[in-house]
Amino acid sequence: MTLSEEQVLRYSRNIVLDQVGKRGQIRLLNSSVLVVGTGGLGSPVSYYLAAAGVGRIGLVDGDVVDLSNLQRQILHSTRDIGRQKVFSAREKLLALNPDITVSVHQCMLSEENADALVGEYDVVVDATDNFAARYIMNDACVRAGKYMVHGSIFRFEGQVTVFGGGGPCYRCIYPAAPPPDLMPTCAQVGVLGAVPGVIGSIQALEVLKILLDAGRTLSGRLILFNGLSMEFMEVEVQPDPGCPCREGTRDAVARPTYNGCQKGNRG
Amino acid sequence: MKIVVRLYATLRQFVPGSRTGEPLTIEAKDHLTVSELLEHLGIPADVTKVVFVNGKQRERDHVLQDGDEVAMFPPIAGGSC
Repeated sequence: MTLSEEQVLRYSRNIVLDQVGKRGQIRLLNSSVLVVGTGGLGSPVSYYLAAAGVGRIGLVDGDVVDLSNLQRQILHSTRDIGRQKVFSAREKLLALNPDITVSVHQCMLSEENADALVGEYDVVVDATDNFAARYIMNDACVRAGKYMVHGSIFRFEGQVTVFGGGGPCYRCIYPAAPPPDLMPTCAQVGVLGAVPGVIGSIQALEVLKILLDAGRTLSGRLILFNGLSMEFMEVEVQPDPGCPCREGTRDAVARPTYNGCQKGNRG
Repeated sequence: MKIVVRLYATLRQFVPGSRTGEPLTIEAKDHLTVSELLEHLGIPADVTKVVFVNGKQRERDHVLQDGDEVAMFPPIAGGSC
């Protein structure tokens, strides 16, 4: 593959970086990333990945755009209210960069579809809003040996790390989901849009580093972000030797059967 | 001995007056374990959380030293919402 003149110009600020170059740009264009969730985190993540020229982006979301989403979910516009998020998102990403492909999966990630979806992509981004999807995604990434770039937010706080690549998985750190009554939703507690903007941008950068094999990723390190005091705290996270994800016990992570997911082509 | 504790996200609800990530200094007996500290703070045992002492993940039976910095955080759900 060689870059066209237009591509050289479009990606010139990437290419000029030692860690990218023409070779790295071609690598990005040949890469694929699955972004699970097209909301507060998924918006900045997929925008930056599209802009950087990640060749194929998959979007998973079964929701429709609501007026109350728009203060943080910057992929969607007022005129998109009522539209399926994946189609609204794809339109914006392709308007930004028609050089890439955006595949839409108009569904929620489930035990039935996770293996097939994860299997189609090089890296998976956790931009969901619930624990059930995170555990499903984690287990599918462990089975497939794929990186899962995790981000989550709560009020002014965020957590971001990279699972896989020899480091811990989500279950190593959080073996079990907390009881639902202790976990208020964003609707109950609120969130300022710039908070997922910060965390989502870090996730996008980590994905690009993984694809380019550049620098040092957050694998084995978790960042706790506090937007109110504007502090980043880093903690070291290690694999749990008793976790099913560890070598030799990977099959312990149950493998569900695949029933498919509606793959939309229109929007 | 003195222990500095930082609580994140939903854990704050158990310690009135605490603020996210801001240091709380606790005067505690010597050889306090992590689980005794949790009890002292009133954080229920069944609440999911991860405990870090001086930046390293530690189990409940870890014995704390004077001046240790303890950070505790729960998993948080938000993202797409």
